[in-house]
Amino acid sequence: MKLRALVIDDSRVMRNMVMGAVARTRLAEFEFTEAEDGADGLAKFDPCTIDIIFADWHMPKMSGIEFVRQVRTSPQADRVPIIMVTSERTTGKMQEALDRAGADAYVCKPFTVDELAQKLSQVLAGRRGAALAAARGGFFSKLLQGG
Amino acid sequence: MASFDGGPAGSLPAAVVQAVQQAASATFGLICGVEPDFQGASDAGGRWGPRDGLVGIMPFAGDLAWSLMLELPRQTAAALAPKFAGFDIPFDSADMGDAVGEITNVLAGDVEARLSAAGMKAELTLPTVVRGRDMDLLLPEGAPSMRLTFALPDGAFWLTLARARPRRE
Repeated sequence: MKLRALVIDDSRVMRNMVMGAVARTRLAEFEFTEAEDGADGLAKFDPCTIDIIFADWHMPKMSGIEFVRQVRTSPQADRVPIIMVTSERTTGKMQEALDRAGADAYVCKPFTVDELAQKLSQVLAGRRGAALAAARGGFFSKLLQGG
Repeated sequence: MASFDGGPAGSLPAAVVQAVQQAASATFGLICGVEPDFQGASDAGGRWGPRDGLVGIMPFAGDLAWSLMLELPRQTAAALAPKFAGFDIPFDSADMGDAVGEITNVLAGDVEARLSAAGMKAELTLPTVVRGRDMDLLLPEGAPSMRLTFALPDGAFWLTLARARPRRE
């Protein structure tokens, strides 16, 4: 079973970097869907077919933070964890994303595979990760236990 | 609280120059595994630009209107982009512009965080990347500017800072 990830970034290079790093975490097998901005991300996002989202902040058409806010207005989408992957690194921006918009984790660019793996593990072990595990038949619980 | 008015002549605030210099060391140190050697600062003058290379431009809004421009000659860009991305990027490809835009973005994000810690509000926007040969990039006449020169084992790069021309009193 694969973890279905939506990767939103206006930079193709950055999307490839995120997908490569996520795959190299070896926390699961991943299947990726790419989106070029928040609006494209919303169009491609379906809580029934996407398990986790990686979103940049600054993008044309719709920013990542606006995308997060819009996703979090839907009760159906509330179980889907969102990790912001961005060059914004001020405390204020992190608080805005995590405390007010509803992102689950925050990764600053440039990042290492270890940093990403740590955040991804934390997210999968959290409240939305548990909801995701329940929805996917406990798959991620086994994953986190090394099963 | 620090003052960021830039002084009576509308020069670049020392806090901005310092933040850029420190961010360059940290960002390129992370990408390359070795911090760049800062080789000095000079007035950017009215016109400048790479003979063959790329320029990533990031305008900042907030307490001060200014721009940060990362100039990478072909040789430096060709060596740096794959180190940043983790895969080969041909110089003439669209991905090269994409990578330089992201490097500019990451550098600017570090600058923003350092300025924020110093009490100065600086908002990032979207970077623009220019690629070409024999370019002359024209700064507004009278705009306070500074050009910082750095050297990496892979080649040199420059950071040019320019703030909005001060209004007449």
